[in-house]
Amino acid sequence: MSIAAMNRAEHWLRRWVVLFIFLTTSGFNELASQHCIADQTINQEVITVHPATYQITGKRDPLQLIVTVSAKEQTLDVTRDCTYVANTDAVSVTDTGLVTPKTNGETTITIGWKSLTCQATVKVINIDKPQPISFDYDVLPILAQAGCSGGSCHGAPHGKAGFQLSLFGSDRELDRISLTQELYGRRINPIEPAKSLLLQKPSMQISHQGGKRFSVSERPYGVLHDWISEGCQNKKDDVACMGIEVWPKENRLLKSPAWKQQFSVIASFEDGSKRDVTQLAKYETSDPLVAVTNRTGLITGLRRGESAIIIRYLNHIETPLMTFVRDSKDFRWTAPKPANEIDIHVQAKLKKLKFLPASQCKDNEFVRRVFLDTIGILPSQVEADAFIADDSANKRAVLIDELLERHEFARFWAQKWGDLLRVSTKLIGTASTHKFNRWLEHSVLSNQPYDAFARDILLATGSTRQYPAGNFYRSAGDTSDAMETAAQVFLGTRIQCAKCHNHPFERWTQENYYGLSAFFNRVERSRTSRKEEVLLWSRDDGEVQMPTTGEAVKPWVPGTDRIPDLPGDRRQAFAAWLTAHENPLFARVEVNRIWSHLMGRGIVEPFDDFRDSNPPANAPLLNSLATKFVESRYDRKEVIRIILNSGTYQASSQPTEVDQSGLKYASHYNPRILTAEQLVDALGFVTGKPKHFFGVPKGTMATWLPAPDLQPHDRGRIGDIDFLKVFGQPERQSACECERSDDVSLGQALELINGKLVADMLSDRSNTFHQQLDAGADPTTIIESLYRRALCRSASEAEMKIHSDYLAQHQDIHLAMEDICWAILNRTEFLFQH
Amino acid sequence: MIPTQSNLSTALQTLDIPGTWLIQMSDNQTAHRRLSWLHWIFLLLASFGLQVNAEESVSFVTNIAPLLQKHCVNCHDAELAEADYRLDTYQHLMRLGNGSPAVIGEQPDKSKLFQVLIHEDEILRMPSDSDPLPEISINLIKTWIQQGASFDGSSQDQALSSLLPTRKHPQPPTKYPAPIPLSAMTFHPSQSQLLVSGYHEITTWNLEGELVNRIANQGERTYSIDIHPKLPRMLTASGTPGVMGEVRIFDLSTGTLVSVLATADEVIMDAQYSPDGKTIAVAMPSGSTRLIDCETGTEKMELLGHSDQIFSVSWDIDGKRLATASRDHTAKIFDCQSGASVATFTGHTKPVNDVAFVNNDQAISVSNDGTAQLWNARNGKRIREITRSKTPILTLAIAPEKIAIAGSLETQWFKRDGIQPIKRFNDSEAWTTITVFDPSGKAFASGTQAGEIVVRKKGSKPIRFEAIPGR
Repeated sequence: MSIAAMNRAEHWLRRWVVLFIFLTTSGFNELASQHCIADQTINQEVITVHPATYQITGKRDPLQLIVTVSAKEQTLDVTRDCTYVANTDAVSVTDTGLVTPKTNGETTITIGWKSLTCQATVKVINIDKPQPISFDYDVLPILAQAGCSGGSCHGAPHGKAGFQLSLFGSDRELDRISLTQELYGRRINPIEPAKSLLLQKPSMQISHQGGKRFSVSERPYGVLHDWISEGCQNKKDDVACMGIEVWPKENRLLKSPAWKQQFSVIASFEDGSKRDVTQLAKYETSDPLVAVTNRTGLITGLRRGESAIIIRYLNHIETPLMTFVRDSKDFRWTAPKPANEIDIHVQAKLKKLKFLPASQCKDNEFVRRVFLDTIGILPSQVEADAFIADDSANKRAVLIDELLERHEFARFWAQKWGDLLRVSTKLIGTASTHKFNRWLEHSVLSNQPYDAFARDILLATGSTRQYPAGNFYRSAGDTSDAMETAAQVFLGTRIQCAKCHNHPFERWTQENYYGLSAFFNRVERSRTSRKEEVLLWSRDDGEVQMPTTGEAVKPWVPGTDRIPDLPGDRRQAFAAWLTAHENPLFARVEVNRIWSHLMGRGIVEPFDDFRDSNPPANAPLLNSLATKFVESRYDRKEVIRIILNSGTYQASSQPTEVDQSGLKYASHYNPRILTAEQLVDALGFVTGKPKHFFGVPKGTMATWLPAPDLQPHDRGRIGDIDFLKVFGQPERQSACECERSDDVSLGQALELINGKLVADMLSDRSNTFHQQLDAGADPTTIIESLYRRALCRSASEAEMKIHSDYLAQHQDIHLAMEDICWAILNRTEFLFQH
Repeated sequence: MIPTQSNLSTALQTLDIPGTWLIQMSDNQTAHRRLSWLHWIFLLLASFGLQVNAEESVSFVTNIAPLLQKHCVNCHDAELAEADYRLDTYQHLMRLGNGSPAVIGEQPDKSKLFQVLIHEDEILRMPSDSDPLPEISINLIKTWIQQGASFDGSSQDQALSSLLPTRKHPQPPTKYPAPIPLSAMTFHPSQSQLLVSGYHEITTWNLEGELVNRIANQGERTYSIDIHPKLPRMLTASGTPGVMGEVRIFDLSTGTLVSVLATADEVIMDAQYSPDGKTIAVAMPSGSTRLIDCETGTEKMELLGHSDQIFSVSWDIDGKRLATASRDHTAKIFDCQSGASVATFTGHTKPVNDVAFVNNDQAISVSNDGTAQLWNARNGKRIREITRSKTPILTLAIAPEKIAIAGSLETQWFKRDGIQPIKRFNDSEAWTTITVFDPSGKAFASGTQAGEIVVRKKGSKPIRFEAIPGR
């Protein structure tokens, strides 16, 4: 049949490239999986159709053709721009490339686009054979696709408006009862199927709070209508669905205005049969600002950028990546010379997407930025002046090296780890909090290799008093908690969802959840008579059971089925797998976290949510950093050093274009509000009145605090507002870094405008500027030094004039100076790092 | 949702009882007297405007209320009141939540209600997240406003669903293409026949399984059938899921409709005569229970306290108290003299499907949580759990000496006195959805999701048949 197709096509073509790929055909199914790509080139343009040969079984499933024109550096989906001519009546073809079977027989469809043509051969068999709608393979997927069983609709834990479905059809029995039996089968009308509530509500023939989900002419309506007409068959299908094949398989780059791509999804079953499930699958995008999907598998780009397309049928998920760029003729690429490999990867991505990188930031911007990122505080006037005055070429690199060796660096970064590992007096007690924090601080200070750090925590054994890292198992007090925390911190995986049901966006299943838990299930925590002391040890037995079946679950890790099930302490096997060089997640998660701390946005964002459906903004960059990290034997400081020395880190926070959307790809530096602790320290530094904290020695900075709850809760102070909390200091209740809030709130504005902390610092007569005034210093000098400390720059002439005028108008120079300082502290330029 | 007397007169138009005619007449006369001079002025004014198209005059009750009920009320009812705007009564729909007018007579373009139907921005256009209304419907609303947006019903504060004219329901199919789940069944007073829920009808079967009669002009599904203790009257609770609910009374000897006693915007699951036959208790989907006087058709009382749909109501022996079972996971006892809720049983964890008095002091209830519970009808305290299964228990039946409890695949009999198990049946393949004893307790019938009925009589073999006309 392919030979015939070739002969017919021959005189049309100047050049032939014929590729045959014979895939296995099983005896049972009629699908001749002959996979033929016929192509033709004119001016380097090649037109191909997928699938070139296909066999449709029965009348139910139309076939989606995908027609692609490839030219130099350009791939074009022309599925909707072609002419389709079928040479028999066996099928009909719409202008969207949808082939509907009509009668048994074979058809050649000739596809034309401009002067190019190609052909697809479609055979239809068993058109008259009954093909009942399958509850599992048609009804449940279509309810997921139409959004009915989504988490905010009837898939919510208690359903919606009295009608409950399981999340994306994960519990067929619940769905069967809800759909066909509950309330005397009110949702199904067996006598007049079209009058069923299940059809009339979502098609809005009867008003529906969930809106119109599909119209009468669309596939979901047809599927549900036929299912009801056939008597709501719901016997479980014996033939398992083995997987889906998505086309196009490879990631694609689409240039505007051709920002459309049709997908096709073909499912294969245990018995060798195949079905085109393009119209049954569910399509979502990882970045809804970049692309939108529809139910027929058409993806439309909205703006420049990349988005993974998450294609789901049953529990099978594929996530091809689509890149949308503008085909602008007047785009001229200009970029600073790459300082290191980071810049090469970032610029390659920016160039591909046609974003221009920002220019380099000024010295005064850099010195403020790099101090805040490494040691959490603002540079002193002397430090800043010395750096700016230095005219050596490598002064930025020298400063970075100096900062990374300072003790404040260890304290500031230990606090970030304290957030993740939930170091708090509430969970582990005051003494243990200090001990654990000192341990973390020492780990950063000594630049402990990251794999050793992870092993110290995960394999902790013995007394938590002697061995502070063991407090991990106190914060994470049971098997699930320890596993979930370890997965989130070291694997960047939010696996909690899978505890109760298969993960809605990912491959994670409930069995995976309990398979991972099996590593942590044997850890025993025995209290001793000494305060806050727990002895950690491992039993030799203890299995985790699936809550649904009660069966013991074997230890499991992602990506391999050969994990040794050692007798005794299973954590050893987990830690060995985790820290192995070839583990794709361990290094990536950590370099991504470091990147996020320094750049204000992860390469994977949210940065502890790694999954196929949330791809990195720049995969080569992430891979390169991870490789460097592994090569350096997990030297965290080295990764920080590489990033800080890159032109990408040192870029201006002003984008070259008005369009800010290049930020995702690091086109410019991400300006962001100081963290709660940085802000308190900065306010104290500018006014010269640093805040004192309960339970730590005088002089301890906010960025060094071992825990957010050192001060015991005092009922009498209930009305007090904690400045740190208002600005997002986390309570350390969860291992999710999302607990540190970066939301801007009204409370924050009020705190800055007339909150107690700021007011006290300003009005304190012993603060720096009041003392300078008392000593008779020139007000302009005082203002200048405020600017230097707060903003790392001089006041402009215009600014100085405003301040001088203000001083001249007021009798009380002390009060007036308070106002001026207040104004500076409320400037975005002060509140942000940029 | 409280119907007024005048509201009921509309609903009672089909009544053939002379007494009720009189009520309706007198009510109309009062209304006529009160409005007569206004009426004349209005007619005078209207006659100028309508000279050309007098025949196209749009009625709120016949044309507009059904439209709004179908497309708007779901989201703009008392419960949800989306955008702080309600459309469930004429009074409400004329004003927005902030008090400004939603409809300005004769000026559709300035009426918010009309503007949102034709809004260019899809996000702001109503019905939300859907196609616009058909042009013909939009024009009807426009014309209605142009003609003054007047109200031609009897009371502006009555629910739109109760304003709708008495429906003539479609004829049931001669032959059913598929079985329909059985949701209501009772013994005919002759005791030799069963009255069974059909599709847009009540079917009558003799105990050998032969179809002997069909009573049509009924809502799509029937959820309860009750026979008057003295008169040949059949009381039914029915409705079309998601669309409407009704309580209808039929003459049992002729099969003709006697009256429509209550309407709602969702199916009504139960309606029961009091033991003396003077009062009807109606389980409303809104969560209230209405007590309606049989003679006058007027509402005597509304029993409030449940937060969700009522599934079942059941009188005590004296007709002084009423037990109610609700989707809100509770069952209650109401005093029908004072209207107060005197006991609440909170021992179920899922919707309560059925409830009944065992005696004056005890009540029994069954639930989707798979349990049947015996509890104190005076204070709502649990006495004991009678049975527990993994699947829902849907229905209860009470005979002088026996109680039947039907779980999804199992039916159990208990002695009424002491609730001791007597027998169990699990010979049904489909869920048992309805059970009933004849008044003497000598015959028992149960019906299933698949339309099958089993009749058990003492001393004879069980008889099984499919209650599906045409099979």
